[in-house]
Amino acid sequence: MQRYGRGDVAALETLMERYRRWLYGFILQMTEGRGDADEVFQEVWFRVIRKHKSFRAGNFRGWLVRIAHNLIIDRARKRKPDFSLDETEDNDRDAPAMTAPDPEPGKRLAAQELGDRIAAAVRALAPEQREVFLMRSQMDLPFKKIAKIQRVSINTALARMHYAVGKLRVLLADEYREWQACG
Amino acid sequence: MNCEEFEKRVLLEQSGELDEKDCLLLQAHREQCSRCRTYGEESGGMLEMTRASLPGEPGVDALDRIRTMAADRARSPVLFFYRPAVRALACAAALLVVVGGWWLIAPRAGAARVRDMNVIVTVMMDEDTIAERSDTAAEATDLQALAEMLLRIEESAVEGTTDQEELLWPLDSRAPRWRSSSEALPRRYG
Repeated sequence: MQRYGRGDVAALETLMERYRRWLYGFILQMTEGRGDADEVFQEVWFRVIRKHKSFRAGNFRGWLVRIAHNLIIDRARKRKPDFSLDETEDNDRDAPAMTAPDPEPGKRLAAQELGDRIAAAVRALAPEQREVFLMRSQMDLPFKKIAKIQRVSINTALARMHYAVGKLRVLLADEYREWQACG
Repeated sequence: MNCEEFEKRVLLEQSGELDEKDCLLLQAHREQCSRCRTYGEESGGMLEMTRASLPGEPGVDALDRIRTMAADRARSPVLFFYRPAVRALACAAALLVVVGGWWLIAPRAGAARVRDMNVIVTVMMDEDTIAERSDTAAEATDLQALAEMLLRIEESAVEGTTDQEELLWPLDSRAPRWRSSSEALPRRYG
């Protein structure tokens, strides 16, 4: 970020390259689809560009996720003014999931189907649990940072993750065995 | 350590937030409890599996727009910074032109009305017209007073005077017997 602040555009490109897949994966699972996810993703980086001077040296990943989290909340509240991440309704929508490119079409299709099923299971989590799980799995954020972003205690963040893992172990038992078998 | 505590602490171990003492306690429980050992393996596996399977790629258009903005910002940071202020200034200037133009035009419209009224008043005050239109001398006087009042109103509108009482006083004080009929006014003028 410091190099970008001095006019090095390539520095920002490097950051985008490093974080875009994980950040987009997080955003995609927390929004209404690819169109929404693209807009939020774009706005996250617009804010990074506009406010790069306010970034203190440290955890850039956490800063990115915090911006994304706030944008996702704002967006959801525009659609539904009383929206809260603490809602516990289940969500049955399937999110289109992309996987890393694979030269073998058969394997690619199987991987994509697996990804779709995993995405559907993650979508079935309550929003606050889904967010904690995605912050851990996609952005590898520590619970201390997650708790700060969600403005809850570490114990609450842990409890949400514990619940999410418990539910996914049940929903994705077959998929987990299949994934392990693929190595 | 019981199994419930293990299930929460193993999540902290996976995120690297568990201290060494608790790690040792965790390991000791893991060796004794196969259920918790399985839980630890599967919870870590769930993270790995979703990390490998979920990430998506943003649209090309979104990436292009980000790159364009980044390049603009790097090229002209001052203009980028002040762009909202420049826009605000341009809007304020446009508003000034519109409001100022209206302000300049409005008095001319008033002046035009005064000229028109002058024509009407001139005709109304013409002795022959007054004599033709008035049945009595009192009516003629009232007609003249009305014409003067109308002229005064128009001039005051241009100047910005808003005291209606001041404008109407001459008429009220003489308690005109003027009939509010179109017959009192000239049919044609000019």
